Amino acid sequence: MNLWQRVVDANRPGPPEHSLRFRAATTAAVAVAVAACHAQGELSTPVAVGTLVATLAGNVLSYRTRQRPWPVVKPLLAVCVLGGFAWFLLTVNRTATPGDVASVEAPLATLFCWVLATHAFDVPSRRDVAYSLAGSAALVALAAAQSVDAGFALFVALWVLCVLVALVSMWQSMASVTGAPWGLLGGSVATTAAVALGLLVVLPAPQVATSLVFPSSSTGDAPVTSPSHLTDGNPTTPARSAAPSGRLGVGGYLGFARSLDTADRVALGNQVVLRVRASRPGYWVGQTYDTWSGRSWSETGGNGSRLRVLTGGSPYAIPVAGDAQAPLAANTTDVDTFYLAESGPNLVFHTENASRVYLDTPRLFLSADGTIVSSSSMAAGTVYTVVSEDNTATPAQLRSASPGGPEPVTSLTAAQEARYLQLPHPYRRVSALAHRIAGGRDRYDAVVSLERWMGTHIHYSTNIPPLPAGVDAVDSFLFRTRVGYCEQISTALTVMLRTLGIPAREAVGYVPGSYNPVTDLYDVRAKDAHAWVQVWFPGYGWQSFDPTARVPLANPSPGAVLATGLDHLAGRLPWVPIGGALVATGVVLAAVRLARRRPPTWAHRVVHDLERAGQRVLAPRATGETLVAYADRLAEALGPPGAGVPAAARSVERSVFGGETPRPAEVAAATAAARSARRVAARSARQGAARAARQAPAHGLSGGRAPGPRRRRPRRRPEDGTA
Amino acid sequence: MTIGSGRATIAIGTGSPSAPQPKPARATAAPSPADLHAAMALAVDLRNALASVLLGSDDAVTAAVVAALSGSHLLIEDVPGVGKTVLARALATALGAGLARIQGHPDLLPSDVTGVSVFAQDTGSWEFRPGPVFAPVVLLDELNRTPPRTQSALLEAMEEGQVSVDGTSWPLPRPHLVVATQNPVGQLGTYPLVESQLDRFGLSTTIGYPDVEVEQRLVLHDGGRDALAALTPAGSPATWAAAIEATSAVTVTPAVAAYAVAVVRATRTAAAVRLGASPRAAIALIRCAQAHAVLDQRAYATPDDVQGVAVACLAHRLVVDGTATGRTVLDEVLAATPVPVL
Amino acid sequence: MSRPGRRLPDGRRMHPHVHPQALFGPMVGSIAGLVAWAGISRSSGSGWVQTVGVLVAAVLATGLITPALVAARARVWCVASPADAVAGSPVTVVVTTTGPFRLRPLSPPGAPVTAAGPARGGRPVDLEVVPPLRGVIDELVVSVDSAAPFGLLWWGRHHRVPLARPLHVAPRASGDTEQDTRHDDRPGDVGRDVPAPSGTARSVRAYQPGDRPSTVHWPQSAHVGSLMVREAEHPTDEPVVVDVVLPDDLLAAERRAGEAMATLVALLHRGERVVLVTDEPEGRITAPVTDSVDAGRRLARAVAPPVGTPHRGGP
Repeated sequence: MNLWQRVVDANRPGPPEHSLRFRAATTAAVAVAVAACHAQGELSTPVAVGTLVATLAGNVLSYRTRQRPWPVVKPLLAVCVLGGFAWFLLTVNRTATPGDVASVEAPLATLFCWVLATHAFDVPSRRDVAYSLAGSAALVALAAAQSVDAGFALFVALWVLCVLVALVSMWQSMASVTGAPWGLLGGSVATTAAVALGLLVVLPAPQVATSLVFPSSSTGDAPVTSPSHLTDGNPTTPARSAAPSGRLGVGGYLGFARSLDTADRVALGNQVVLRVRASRPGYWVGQTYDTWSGRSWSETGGNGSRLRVLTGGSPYAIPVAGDAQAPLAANTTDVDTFYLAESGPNLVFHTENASRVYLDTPRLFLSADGTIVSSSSMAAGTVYTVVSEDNTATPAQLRSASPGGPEPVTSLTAAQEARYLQLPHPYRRVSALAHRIAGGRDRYDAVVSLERWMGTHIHYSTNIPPLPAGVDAVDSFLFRTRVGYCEQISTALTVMLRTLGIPAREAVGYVPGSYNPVTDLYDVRAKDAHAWVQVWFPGYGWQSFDPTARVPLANPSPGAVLATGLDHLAGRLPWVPIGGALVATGVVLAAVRLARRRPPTWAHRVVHDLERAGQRVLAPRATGETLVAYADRLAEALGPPGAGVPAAARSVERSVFGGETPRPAEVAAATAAARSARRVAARSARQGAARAARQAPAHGLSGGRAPGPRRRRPRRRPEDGTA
Repeated sequence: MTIGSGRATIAIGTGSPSAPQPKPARATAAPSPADLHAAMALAVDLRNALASVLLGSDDAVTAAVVAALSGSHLLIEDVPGVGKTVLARALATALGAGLARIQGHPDLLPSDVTGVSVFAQDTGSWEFRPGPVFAPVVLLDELNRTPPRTQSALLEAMEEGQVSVDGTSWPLPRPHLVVATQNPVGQLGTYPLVESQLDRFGLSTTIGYPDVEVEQRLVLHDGGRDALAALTPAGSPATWAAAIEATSAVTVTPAVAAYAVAVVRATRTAAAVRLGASPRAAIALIRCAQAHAVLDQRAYATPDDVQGVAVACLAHRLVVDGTATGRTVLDEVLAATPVPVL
Repeated sequence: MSRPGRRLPDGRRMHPHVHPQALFGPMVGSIAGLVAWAGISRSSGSGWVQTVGVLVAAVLATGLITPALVAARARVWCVASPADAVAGSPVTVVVTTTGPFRLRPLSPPGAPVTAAGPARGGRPVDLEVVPPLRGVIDELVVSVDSAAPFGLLWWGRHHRVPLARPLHVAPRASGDTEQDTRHDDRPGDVGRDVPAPSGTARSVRAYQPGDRPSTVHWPQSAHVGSLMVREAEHPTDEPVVVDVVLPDDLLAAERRAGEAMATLVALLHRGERVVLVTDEPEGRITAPVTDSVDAGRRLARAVAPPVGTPHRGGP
């Protein structure tokens, strides 16, 4: 058979498919896929509903006409599909923007739905229904490409369940298996889950190639009108540092504002505020502060003056700020995409040294220290991408850096230096402490030694008493309480560094948050808001130091995330009650089974004793040997002590096969005979074994006749052939 | 009363030959324990009578008694001169029933067995003269030397319980026992029976050559025909019929029935078996097991009974290949089939 | 004739281990699909694509590999099989399998059968096989296939199933088929052959279809009013000896055995006593044949005579 014939043969439609469950499961899978696409916003509601209705109608029609499909259907469907493709190409030509996949995905989803719906009208055989199932997989992939949160797991689970039911039904109809497939379904679900788990652990974390695409979209175009240009999500409300009934916390600060009051006590919630796709974790910087007042930080020029305005639309090239010089060689470029989950301040978070911002806004405001503010409010659903040049230097490099060193490429001006050494009053005690800890060292070692001192002498807690009025926050923290959280710790470190003459400033933003290996995103929660220290190193620029948190170097693998998750789960499970419940269940089941077993009757006991006795003296009862024959053989082998055995066997047979209940005397006699036979047999077995050990066995207590059905003595047969 | 060979047409003693035999009165109620005891007594008497005549052949005696009690027909495969006729005569005498003896030879016609319609000159009509098969106990010697048509006629009569001649049916007496003998196969000039015909016989047995002591006793006028002459009837056809009824009411538990069926089914798939035992064989096996239980003075059948009658009941129904015989196959089957104990 | 070893009678290899059937399509489709999925997941905006792809890969892996485990644990055994058959005619063998498998008889060949029933538990299956040549068959070779649980790929294993008893396949009786009275639908007594009695008349009996008209006893028939014929002694008949010598070539031997079978059936139907002489592996066998089944068995076991035997003429 040549290749063409083979191809034709392979494409011949098979026999009609009768299994209703298979078709229903496939239709359900398609419906779930359509719903998933709709939930991600790729399909409009009329299209989704229309697809569902058409798929259902098509399946019903195909099922009805499966024995004799209408010949007009195939050409009609071919025309429809071609029309759909034409529409898709035209739409993409018209509306797609280069570099934006999302603009292609919506028409693509609509095209898939169109093809699936038309295909549903022509599914007479098993193979066609399987193709429908594969089509639903394509739709689900399309929906998955757009989803960023864990809620998509519901659609995935439902779809996988529908697919498994469909495949099991397909096999059932192939192999003519009757009955409900529960066992098979359960087994296949378990196996698939196990294999998937294994694959998830083994495979590396999904690495979405962010260098190809810089997604950005905004849901609100309302321009910001607050004087400082920083709002809390509402275009007109200026960002406030604290609100007693803030939405995100109780008595905590609402978000990021133009000043940071360290006297505020925070209690932040667990909600996810934004999600970040980053090839490696890093701090998401929001703002920096340079002026310390003894209780709160603020920013010079934060009231709106001295802001640069960038116009021109996305993408925005961020010029190098005045005090952040060109980065050095051997650096990496970070491409981070931020997905806002809650509406928040119109800060553009970034890793340090942002160089390009992809944000859908008419203008960007840039402050001197690198803070980027958008001119439109950012509601939930806003997406922006920032490209940053990493300038983190190694400790060896930082140690070698010193002011006035060879070729200081980057340095601060005198005014900048004064700003970053500003202190409200000379901190004598703080200065003495800092000099005692880190005096005489170079800049890097000074910072590290102060950090180490903090680690050993300060206790981290978010539950600290309020700051009394009129007291300096750093004095109180370092000399009285020695308890605090990131704000106090970082403020103290900054102040100590400033007393040492090292330019330092306070940075606020978010720690990377927890990495979700499924979506390849960092889930940043409200409680991940953080404050840390940035120190100036000539030649290398601002370097971040964080005495509080530990940040990993790379995205963790799914296996590690799974392991830590299981660890947490195992630690939190109450093992003692669970173990107790399992043991109790086992005990109950054993008791039920014991109770259900019938109590052995006297006949059972007699038979059991006789068989045990026989096992000890001769071969056990053969398969075809009746009880009476066996008892006769046993009595012959036991001799005089086994005299009552045949009668006992006959009593048992009378009660079992005759249906007569024997008299109690007879029962007692039979039981006694059997028991004594067993004892005698045990004794003689022991004696026989001892004797056999002493001498060569002449003859043991072997039975006379061979086991087998009872035979009369055979007569001599006449030879063949004699007349 | 006995009849000579099949050539003559002589009427037999029971009933008028020209009218259909009346059926013996059948009990309408279920057999009572007294009937069962009477059957047990009859069985013991039968066995003692036969054992006194046929010295040392316990197997054949048991088979004969079981055949009588279960209402099945007996097939004796043996060489001539070992006492087949003596056994049949003793059985008939002990049962108080008449015996008819037919000698099989290649010229035997069906009418010699079933009877013939004779044209009577004086009345000018055809009269039916019943053949030897109308005796309560019929001994047919050398069944495998009778021609096939005669064999078919006899077996058909045994199966249907009546003889149809010229459009009229003449019923056979109840109870009816046919003891057929055949010479062992391998001789020339025989017409071996087909499997379906052998199936009509409930039991088969052999007598075999006696032991030295028994042969010596026979020679000294102990047992054999001399004992036969001294035999007295232990029952009558009526008691015999009642005994058959009572035997069929012996308790058979489902376990025993299942065991019998398992044995029969195992013979169908045993190695070297070309044709196994039929469902008719299973029914016959249970009935023979019931008769064996009655002989053993029990009112219930046990697997021992099934094993005791299995060879007699089934060996002749199996068609085996090669060097195996029915007996060897059945030994293997009985050893391999699990026996219900409890 | 059973052939032990690694080859089936038609030359195909026997695979005692599980092997996939029609692997090309599903494997290529799965790999292509997964590769495309990997490409999409790299260029999409979310890691969900990879997760869903992992699930789809798990489903595919389960569906492609589990049938191998299921098929490896399949058991087939013969429950009942007939003892005699005719070459070229279908024979039903009852086998039991331990699950819902597809059984394909390979030697002797037959149509595939799906063992229908619940998902677990043994079930009897009636296999219809058609032995192509005469011989004695001790075992079947059956391919037991399974595609559980998703039906994506069939894996199978070749089993040797010993029959409950050896199956003697008689040669198809070729040539004159008029002798086959089983299918004789012609009306009346035409073609029926009752053994012609010869010898002295002994008595008179009623007419039976097939009796020759020359034996009708007219006076007695007039008396009775229906036909009566003379009953005569049966002669002792000498048996007819049929000597079969088979050639070495398989097909020629089959043809000749068929002719011998036809001859034997004709003779037996006529009521003759037949003695058949054949060569078997143990040597020459001379024995009478009682019926057509026996004749079929003898011819099934017959082989060509060993080289060096003097040639015996005739069929």
